[in-house]
Amino acid sequence: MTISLAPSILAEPAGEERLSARTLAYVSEAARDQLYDLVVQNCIETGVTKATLAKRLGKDPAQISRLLGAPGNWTIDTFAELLFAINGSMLQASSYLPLRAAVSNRRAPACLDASTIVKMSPSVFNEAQTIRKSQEITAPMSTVRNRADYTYAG
Amino acid sequence: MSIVDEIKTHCDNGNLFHLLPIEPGRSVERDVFVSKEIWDFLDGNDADVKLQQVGARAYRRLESFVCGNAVVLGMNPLQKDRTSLIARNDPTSDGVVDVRINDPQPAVRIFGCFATRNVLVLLLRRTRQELAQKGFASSIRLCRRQWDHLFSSCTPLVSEDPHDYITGTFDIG
Repeated sequence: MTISLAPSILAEPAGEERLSARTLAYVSEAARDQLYDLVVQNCIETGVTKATLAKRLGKDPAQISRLLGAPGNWTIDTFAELLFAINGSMLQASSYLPLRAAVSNRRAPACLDASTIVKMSPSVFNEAQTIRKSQEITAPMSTVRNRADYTYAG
Repeated sequence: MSIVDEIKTHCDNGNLFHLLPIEPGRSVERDVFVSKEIWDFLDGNDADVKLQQVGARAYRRLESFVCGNAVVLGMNPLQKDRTSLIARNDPTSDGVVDVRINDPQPAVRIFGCFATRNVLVLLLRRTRQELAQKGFASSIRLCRRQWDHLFSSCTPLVSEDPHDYITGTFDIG
């Protein structure tokens, strides 16, 4: 069975209803994840090493290892310094509404033949579609997230 | 029967669940299959509110793997970086790895094995406190026993080449 957390965890806030702690934890982690991925992709593309980054930033290589090991609670300053030290990039931020994106057609297990297998759980799929449709009626499409959204100045 | 066929059978029987990104626009590039125990943790069914939040963060961390983002894989169990997302455990011949959720507290380890490249099966969850009480080594052995119970005819992937485990590993250098 294919399964995901209920899409309602990312439903757009309405009124004064308090958001769940799990929703806030998820969206915080998503931000960490995206910033981390941006830094790592820049490292991979430029081929810069931990040692070089450490020298450019005047930090210990072990500190750079800790930063690049996994997404973490970086300060904005740390993120900006890392990004610039890698290749002179600066951040251009944008936002998106996650449940309004078109449904990817690559949602079956990659290791299995999608035509024979497991489909998305109907309840999860229906919930995603319902939320998406209701939001399309009330608001315009938001920016679709794409790595190209993070363009670099500098 | 291949390991992939066995996984499919376990999914059909409800023993394993295939994780999907919550966001409908995100694609599956790698596969994570989880046991009911892990799913309950990710789905926020713990009584401890802090663990519910860690479960949501862990879910997003696993989504990152599923969506094909670069991953740091700790190959040497005795010298792995504290922040490696996935690390091999000693003895490496058992093929047991753990996904490491260090921040925020309580830190959690999710144990499992690679079935094949880019296919991770996660079976057992322990907080660091539980590991201190029950022992790291016994948790690794228990994970391997759970694997053997599910996949009696297939052993976990074991290799000294990180690219055999995951495409897109990130060598910090």
